[in-house]
Amino acid sequence: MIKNTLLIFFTFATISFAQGINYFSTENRKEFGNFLFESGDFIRANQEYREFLSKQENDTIRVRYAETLFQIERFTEAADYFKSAFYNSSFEDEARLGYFKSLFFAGLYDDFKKDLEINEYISPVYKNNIMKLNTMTYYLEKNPLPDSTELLSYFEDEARIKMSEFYLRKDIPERKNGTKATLLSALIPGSGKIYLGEYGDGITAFIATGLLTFLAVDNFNANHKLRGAMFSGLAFLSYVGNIYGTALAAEKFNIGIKVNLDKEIRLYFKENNYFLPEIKY
Amino acid sequence: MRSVFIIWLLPILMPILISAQPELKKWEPVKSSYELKTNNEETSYSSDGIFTKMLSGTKTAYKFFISDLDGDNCPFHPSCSEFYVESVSKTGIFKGTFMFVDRFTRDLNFFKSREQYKVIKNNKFYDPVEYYISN
Amino acid sequence: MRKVILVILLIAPSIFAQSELIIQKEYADNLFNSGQLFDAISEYKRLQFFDTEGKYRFYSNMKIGEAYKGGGRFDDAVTYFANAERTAPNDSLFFDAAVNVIRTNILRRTNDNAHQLLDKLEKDLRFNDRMNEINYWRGWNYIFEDKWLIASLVFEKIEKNHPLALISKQTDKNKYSVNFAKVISYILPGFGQFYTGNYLSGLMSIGWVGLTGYWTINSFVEKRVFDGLVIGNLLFLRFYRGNYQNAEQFTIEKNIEVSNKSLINLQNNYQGIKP
Repeated sequence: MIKNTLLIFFTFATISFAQGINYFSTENRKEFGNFLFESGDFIRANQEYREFLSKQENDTIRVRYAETLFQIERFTEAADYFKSAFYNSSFEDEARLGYFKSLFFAGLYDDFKKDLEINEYISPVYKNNIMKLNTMTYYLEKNPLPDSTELLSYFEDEARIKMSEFYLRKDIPERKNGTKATLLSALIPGSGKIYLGEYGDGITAFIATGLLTFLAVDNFNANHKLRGAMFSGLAFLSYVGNIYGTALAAEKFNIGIKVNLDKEIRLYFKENNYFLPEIKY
Repeated sequence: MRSVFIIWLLPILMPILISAQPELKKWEPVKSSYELKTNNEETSYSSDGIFTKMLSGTKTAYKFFISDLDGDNCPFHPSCSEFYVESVSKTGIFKGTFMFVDRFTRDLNFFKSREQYKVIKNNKFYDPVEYYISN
Repeated sequence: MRKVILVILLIAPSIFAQSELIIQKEYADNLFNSGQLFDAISEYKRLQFFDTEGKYRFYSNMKIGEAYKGGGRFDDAVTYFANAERTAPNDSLFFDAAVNVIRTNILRRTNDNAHQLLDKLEKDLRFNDRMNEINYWRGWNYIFEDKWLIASLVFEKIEKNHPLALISKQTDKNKYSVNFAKVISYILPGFGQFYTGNYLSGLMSIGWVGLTGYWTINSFVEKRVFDGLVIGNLLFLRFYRGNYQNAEQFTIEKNIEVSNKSLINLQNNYQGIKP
């Protein structure tokens, strides 16, 4: 009797066990997805979570799915998914930070600022981080910077010093006056380049134009008309070429200042991981 | 303006993009080449306009008869002759000529610094036309 | 009889679990074999995740490594082959994994790494009997470093007439000597270009060097010292320098051509195992 009972029990157990092992079941997809998420394989975690969410709802998986989208740089989709976890989720605060960080990386600064006005979108826990991201949008934009007091108020210590230094350099760049440089070069060949800090080029231009002019005058004096005309032409070319080159160099210099500052700012943000906290979903 | 900006940023961004190699998209199998890489590259430009065509012909002749035979003399990349053809094709005969004269003067300058130009392979100073025209 | 049935039923769940793993492995293998490497990696990782006993751990690590390698993602490939090394159940399989790390390094052209790893395997007493394989991959590593003569010597250690030894030796023979080209150009301008088969360039070099040389000498003969100095410096020396610079450059280019011809041939036609 007992043996029979055992037999029946194990038979059922076997059948149910065998059927229970389905690696593609909703639950197993979640488990496997979590494993991939933690090992940093976000693109494959994304696939598993997508399958899971098509069958079942889970607030943790929802934010994690949004995070995978963020990690594989599909920022606008990530923003949408983070937004869908704003309410009735155990990660409401994290979702809000995730939402703003996705907008930030998508480069949608206008949307970022518009949503910043909606008070309930801002998580009290991560308000500081969101406001820091907001400040950074101003630094990365072309538009003139607004008043610095509010912008810098979310940064402390070293970061604050660095950010105010960037602020000053962006607000009042050490530009060179292109018109002044060009006029200088027109008066004395090469002097505009010296004003721009390119001493070698300036001196060379001065010597080249001077030498060609001297040769032209010298040849005319010696009655070598053809040679004189040739050197006059070259001297003229050199003179005008230098003026035009100075104007271009001034523009290049000013763009260079902007590009270099921009590079420095981006690098600084990146090195500090955009002042984002480490989040455990 | 923007194009200048992007061109400046590209060399900085490229190594990061290549070295990180994260899986952002589903990828396909590739056949890795065994071949060694060569340094040969030709700059190409749209040869519209009569002056560009004339200059391009002159440049080819100059390259064939002289430049290819007299060694490696130009410290810049692209070389002065390439710079001339390109600047004329992009800005017209007058501005292009002035730009070339300016470039040639800078070439004569013995004290070219690494701060002034970016140094690329073969120790050439990188100084393309794009740095000087903003549109 | 009943006892037998009972025993069968007792172990059945684990057998079923095993069979599930086998099905999963075959699924992944199918994807891998049909060239869907990205998806194959997903399924091998799934196999690894549910394989709690670690029965397929080594196998899936190797396969994931191979799939990444097939996608040209050498860094990931090395990571997984190294995982395979760590999870290898015996010395022989460890060796296979180590060789795969080396092959990926060869293909990635991190040849110094490959040499170091080969040194490590060579010193390992467990693998004394697999010296031929070590030499084989060392030879390939030298080929990828463009050192064909050393490569041929290493292949000869395996077998006197190893096909790769013959190919390497032939490639080395086909190469031009950079030094010879330069020296002959110093003495006889233009002949360095002739040596590499660039006859037109050589002739024009001779022409220019001859012409400017004549002008220079002529200037000095006619006592126009300033002209002589200018022409000599700005023209003659320029073309003379260009002549041996060209000879050097052409040799280097030709040598790359020779190497690439052999490399393409090896990649497409060599039947043996390749990196």
